[in-house]
Order: sequence, then C-alpha cells, then structure tokens
Amino acid sequence: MQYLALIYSDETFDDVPMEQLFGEYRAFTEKAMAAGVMLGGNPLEPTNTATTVRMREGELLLSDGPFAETKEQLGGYYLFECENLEEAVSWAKQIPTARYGSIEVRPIMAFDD
Amino acid sequence: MTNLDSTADIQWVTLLKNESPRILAALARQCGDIELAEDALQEALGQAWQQWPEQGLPDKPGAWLLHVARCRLLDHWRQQGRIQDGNQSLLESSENESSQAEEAESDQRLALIFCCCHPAIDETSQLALLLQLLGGLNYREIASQLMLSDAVVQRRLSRAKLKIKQAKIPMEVPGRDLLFSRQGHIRSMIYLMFNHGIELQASQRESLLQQAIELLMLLRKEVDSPEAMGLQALIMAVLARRIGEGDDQDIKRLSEQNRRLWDKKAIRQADILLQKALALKELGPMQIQAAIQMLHSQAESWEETDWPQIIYLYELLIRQQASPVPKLNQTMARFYSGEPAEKIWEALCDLEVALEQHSGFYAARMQILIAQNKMADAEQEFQRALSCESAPRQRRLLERQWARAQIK
Repeated sequence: MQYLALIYSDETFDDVPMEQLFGEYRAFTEKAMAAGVMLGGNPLEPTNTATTVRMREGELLLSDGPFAETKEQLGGYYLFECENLEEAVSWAKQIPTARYGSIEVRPIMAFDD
Repeated sequence: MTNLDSTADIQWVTLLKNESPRILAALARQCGDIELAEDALQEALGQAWQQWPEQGLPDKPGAWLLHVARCRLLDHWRQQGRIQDGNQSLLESSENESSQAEEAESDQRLALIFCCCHPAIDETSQLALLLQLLGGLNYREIASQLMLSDAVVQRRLSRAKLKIKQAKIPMEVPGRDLLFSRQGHIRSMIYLMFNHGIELQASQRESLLQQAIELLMLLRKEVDSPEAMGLQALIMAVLARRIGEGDDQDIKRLSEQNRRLWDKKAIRQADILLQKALALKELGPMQIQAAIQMLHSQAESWEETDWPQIIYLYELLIRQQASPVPKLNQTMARFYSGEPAEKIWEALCDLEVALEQHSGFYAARMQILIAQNKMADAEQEFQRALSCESAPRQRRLLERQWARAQIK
C-alpha cells in the first residue's frame, strides 16, 4: 500500500537553522531508504515560485502563487510503501517538520484491475 | 439439530444478536472492509431465517453463520474475479473449520474496536461505529443517542468505514507501546457505549451491556488496569439489576424496584472484582462510579441505602471529573439522606447554568418542590423536564412521577 506524506509548515518560520534541518532530513531519508519504505520524495521551492494553471473554456489562465492562501504551505513530500496506516504514521511522525508543522498522510488510490 | 418452535423465537433472536458482533469482527478482519463484512453477515442471517425454522437450529449457530457468511464473501470476490493468493487463506479457513480456529476468531472483536477507535477517525464516528457494530443499534437509535439526524449518522458511518478500508487502518490489537497508550481511550469509548446503552429498551440494553463486559474482558486479557476492572464491575452491577428495572415499555426508578428480582450472584461477582481493583490503590472515576452503583445494588431497600458513603464517593468523583452531573447526583443523594429541601434547592440552583439542557436537573427540582408542596412551581419544572427529554420511556417515567405527586 502506498501513502503520500505531504509536508506542511509556515514557510516564513525560520527558527530552525537550515543546516541542521537539512542534516535531519538527510538522516531521515537514509533511514527510510534502508528500511525499504521510501519510494520517493522531494522538497519544494517556496510558494512565491508557484504558478497556478487553469483551463477554462479552452483558454489557458495562469496566476501567480498557490491557488489558496493558507497558514501552512506545502513544502515537500515523501512517497512511502507501507503495510497499513499505522506504519505510515510511524514514518510520518519522524519527518523533521512534524515537530513544528503538520504532515498529511494520504493513501494513493488503488485501482482494481 | 434442535427443533424450533415459537417459544424458542425470542432466544433465537437474542442468540443472533449476541453472535453477530463476533462474526462481523471475524469477517471484517479477514477482508479489511466493514461494509462488505456487514453485507455478507446480512446474507447469512437471511439464509438462517429461511433455513432454521424448517431444518432446526444447527449445533453451533455461530460457526454456521460464519461459514455461510464467508462463502458469500468468496462469491463476491469470484464475481469480481478477485480470487487470488491473498484471498486463498479465506477459502482455506472456510473449508477446514476446526474448533481451534473458531476459538481464535472469537477474539477479533478487540481488533475491531481498536480499528474503529483509531485516532485517525473522529470521536463521534468512533462511538457511532461502536454502537452500530458492537452494540447492535440501527441508524435511528444511534441518531437519537448522539442527538444527530439519521442522515448525518448514516454519512458519518459510511465515511468512517470507507476511510478504514481506503487508508487501511489496521484491524488488529496493536503492539505493546501503542496498546499501552491507547487502552485508556478504548476504555472510555466502552464507557460511553455503556452510558448510551443505559437508556435503551430492556432487551436491547442487555445485549449491549453484555457486549461491553465481554469487550472489557478481552481488553483486560491484553492489558489489565484497576480502571478497566472498575468499569467492568460498574457494568456488571448495573446489569445485575436489569430484571427489576421494568420492561420495554416502562422504566422503574431505583426506589420503586423489587430488589428481590436482582441477580444477587452477579452483584457479588461485581463486588469481588471491584474489591480486587480497589486493592491496587489506583483510584479513578470508573472505580468510584462502580462503588456508588455497588452500594445501590447491595442495599436491601431504598431506605437502607448508605447515603453518607454515596455522598462521600460523589465528592471523590467531583474532584476527578469536571462535570456537573456528579454534582447533581450528589445533591440529590443529600436530599435522600434527609437534608432539608430548602438547602437542596439552593444547591440545585447553583447548577442551573451548567445543566440548563438536562432533563434530570428539572426533574430533581420538580421533586424538591413537590416535597415542599409547591405544586404550581413543580408543574413548571415538570414541563421543562419533559421538553428536554426525548426518550419515550424516560418521558413516561416523568409523567408517572408527576401524576403520582398530584394524587398525594
């Protein structure tokens, strides 16, 4: 079963030194890879680099920034392969941002074929 | 095979009611899909209604139902072309049924409750799931217990079941660490289930309370605690009084009950369990409530109730629980112990803000005013109590109380 862990936090929040955070993320990623649960994952550039794309009546509409203003912004993700939600949560809680932001865990939709 | 006649019908319905949660839990654990498990069980029950009156009751009705329901699950998967390796085990366990396997399956209810009460599900839905799957209540009954509309209950239940299936919330008793950290929550959910069961009709309440006791025994096998013992003793002490409490139509107050109908043996067993819990010296709200109910269950008559002790126990409970209801109960215990009505009235008035939606509060004030012979004021309280109460049996109880007061 695959789960996407979406990492949300206030991107203006800069209490955690970047060096330290990157180190923690590297360590976590290595641990998840060694355990065989890590299928993928990436950090994202901040929301001021975002472009929102919509197609309306055949016409392309572009706008600046994320589609909704929120208190916490999507800053990255991991894709895990886990037995069940309990296991996915046990990994999500170790993501360094979980200490001050929030991690949304969503199952990847499975199609019966 | 046992022959069925009409007098056996009631036993038969009770049997189905008591067996259903266990079978459902076994099925749900195997397929990870509660709705599918419910459908399979429904079909098996349907088949039982058709076959049993003609062919007689099978020797092991529970095993029979489980077997038939599993066959329905397999049919479902065959239709979808999904009989693969994973489902093969289901086929095997269905085809060589040993009594040992049957024993092991009887414990899946605890796995089901840990799944339904997983923190990834909101608490109202957790309770609705428990009341439906383990308490045997239908949408309407759950809705009236939780003060929600039928449609909302239906939506919440199906959303929660879908989440369990899609997010794959495990249907298992968790390992040591999680078991320790979640046991308290499971206990309080069983307590809520018990609390909502108290107002049900006699026959329904009995099977719900019985389920609650069995769940606690399963939980205590995994991880025991004085509070779990206390909760079990509490439910046992209440269940022991069921025959004295009246029928499906009318409910009797403690003061009106024929105490000779109470199950003395069950009361003694509850007391032994409570004493065992208290000896561990970790007092908590469940044990205190059990001790209060035990004093009621052990009193030879309403007049002989040990009110000073009950008042003291409520004091302990109030210190542990920030809820106005124990305060109300304590105030009434003071009234029954002989404190003057004027003093009780003042104490009740202090609770008005906290309990303004609570029918029991107005019923208590009505009782005090009747004792003071202020009948016009009492009638107002009676009307207020009625307007806050929706359960038919509780309404009839209020009306009887009021009618009796007027005769005097």
